[in-house]
Amino acid sequence: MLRKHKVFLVCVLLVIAFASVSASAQHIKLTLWGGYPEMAPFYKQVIEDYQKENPNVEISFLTHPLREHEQKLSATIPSNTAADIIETTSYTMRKFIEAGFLNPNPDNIDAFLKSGVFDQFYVNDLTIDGKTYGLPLFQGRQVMFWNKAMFREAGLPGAPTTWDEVIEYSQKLAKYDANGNLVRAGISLRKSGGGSGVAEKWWFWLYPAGGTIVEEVAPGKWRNGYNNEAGLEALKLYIDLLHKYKVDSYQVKADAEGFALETHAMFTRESWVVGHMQQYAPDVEYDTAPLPVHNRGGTICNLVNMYVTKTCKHPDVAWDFLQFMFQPKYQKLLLAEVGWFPCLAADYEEIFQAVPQYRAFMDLPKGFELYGIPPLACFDEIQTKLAERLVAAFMDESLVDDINRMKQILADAAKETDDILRENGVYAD
Amino acid sequence: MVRPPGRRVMRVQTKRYLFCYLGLLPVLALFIWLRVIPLANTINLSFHNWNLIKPFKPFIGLQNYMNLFNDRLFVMALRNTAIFAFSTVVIGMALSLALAVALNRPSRLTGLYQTLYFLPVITPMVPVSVIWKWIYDPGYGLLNYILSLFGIKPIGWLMYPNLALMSMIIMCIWKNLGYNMIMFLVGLKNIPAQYYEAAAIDGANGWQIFCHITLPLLKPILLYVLITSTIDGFNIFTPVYVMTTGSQGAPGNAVRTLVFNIYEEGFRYFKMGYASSQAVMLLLIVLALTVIQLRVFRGEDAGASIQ
Repeated sequence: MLRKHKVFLVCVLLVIAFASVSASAQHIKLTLWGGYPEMAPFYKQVIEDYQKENPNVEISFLTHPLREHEQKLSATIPSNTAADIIETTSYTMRKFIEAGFLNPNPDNIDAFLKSGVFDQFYVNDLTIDGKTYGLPLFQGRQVMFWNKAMFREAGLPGAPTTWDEVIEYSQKLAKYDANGNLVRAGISLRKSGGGSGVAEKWWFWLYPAGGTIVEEVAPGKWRNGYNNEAGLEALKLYIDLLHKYKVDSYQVKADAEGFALETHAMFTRESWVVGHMQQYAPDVEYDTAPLPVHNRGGTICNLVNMYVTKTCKHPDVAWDFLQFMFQPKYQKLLLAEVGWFPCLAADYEEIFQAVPQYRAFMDLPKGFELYGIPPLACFDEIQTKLAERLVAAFMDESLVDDINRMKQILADAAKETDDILRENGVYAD
Repeated sequence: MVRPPGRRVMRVQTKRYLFCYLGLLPVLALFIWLRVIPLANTINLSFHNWNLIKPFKPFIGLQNYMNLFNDRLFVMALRNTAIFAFSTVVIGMALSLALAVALNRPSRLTGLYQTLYFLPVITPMVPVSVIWKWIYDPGYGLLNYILSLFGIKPIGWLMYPNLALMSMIIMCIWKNLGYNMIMFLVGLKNIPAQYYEAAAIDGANGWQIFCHITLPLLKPILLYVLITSTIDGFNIFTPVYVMTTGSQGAPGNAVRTLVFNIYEEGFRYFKMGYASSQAVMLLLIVLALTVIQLRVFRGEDAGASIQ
């Protein structure tokens, strides 16, 4: 009798153990890391909805500020300890792809990417040696944000469309106190701070002038693209606005924070500022416009993509989740709730009607060009080191009308850029 | 046969030594694993050209070290770090010693002051840096607001190269003041009162007492604070990282320090071999300064006495 009970007990235990093992085998866990903390509500919503439809899948996400996120990727991707799904820019991921740390997209994802729902510019950006990697989630395009009330007060019709208008308007918009100190900037330029931001923002003026940071002169061979007349014009514009016309200063609150506090009348930034303004300054009357043109017109298109890592144990589930995320309803949620502009082609008219400031990001003037970050692993080093030189130059009041010294500054910076390219074996001799 | 007592004593001593070394073994093993091996690896890496995300690491001998002295950013970082460390050590020690002497006198509020001065020490560096970034803000900062009450124009504390480094020095002195002050207070409390009584009977004034009694007897604490402050000064990173972030952050080169430079080379540009050579240089500098400080103080100690 006792033996019978023992056998029964063992059977019950075996059944329980088998059931729990099979249940845990079906339970799939995925992790997602992102570099834009403002994306958290979007991921939360998509994950909740996906988990409702797929109760055996558990997805957790973690977002860090961009610099920390990129640092985390540098340490974890080579050591195979990164998350299953990663959100990052094309240029951040490129070096890992070239080093073989990522698999190309599976056939169905490749077909989805090329199905016409994404602009060919994005498809090209994600193609390396004929293979595609990742799906483009959102993009950072630059537009001019301008304060409508300040422009109206100054008797100006709308955002400047040319460099001449930038100089003229910013002088009319700037305000000074009784002692001649600038209290409201006509335009807010990116002048300081560590990292590559200063060079990146200067690029948005360099490009319309006809230059660029680095240019490809032969396949895979590059050299600096700013030690020329365009570079000189872009540098001179900054020096003039800061020290000749005194329409911006280091003492006035800059960037999105300053725009929300109405300490300046206009500045260039990406679409996330729309969300920032909705949250922090809903009463500020503002609009957006394409960047002013000079010798040509254009704006950067910096893609932030979703990748599945090589170490992901369930890549099919990870890609299925991403396809779920790329449904138009979630892409609209991304624009409406976060403010980053989705890459997926969809009907965003309803959101444009509610928030007209988004329109300028998509309605590009005729002949307006899109340009991307070059596919160079050393580009961050080039931009960061150029930024440091620009920061010092922008502070130098004695550069006003001193063309020779400005040329020398550009030549020194260009030599450093070319040296970095040479060190990385991609310099065009 | 009776064994000679000398051998028995030796056996007992050997057992004791063995017991001590066995007791220390786990800690020693951890120390070797966590400190010695990474240090040896860093030194080894400094002779290689290794990109963090590339599997191959060609040996390049002393090339990384030779490149260091032609690297304007490294030289700039070295100069800034030296200025930073020297200023924080000298000014910080002088201020904390003065505070400790002042708070060593019996008073009802001594405890409150000690707590207040120690508060920044227990506050983590990141929030402290963020708070000071706001204090230094050109438009909305507390510092410019106070200065404006005296008719002084707003100053971009973190914008201009000379001011940015100075602002960083002020913040770090403020942050570490309490720790050094507590160290000095401990030293001051241990000085026997009869020395001061004897000096007072001999008619010595306050300055003479400080120079001939307090300072000589504080030497061990002074040495400790000097060495730890120097090491801290050369390892400065967090405030540089935080204060250079953002559109109105400090210009990176103006406050570029060695550890910040190592971080950029290693984790932004992935030049691990080159970053390792800078880390080894930092180690050598701090080691050399510590040895010099120890020798100077010990040399003085050899012939020093209360005069």
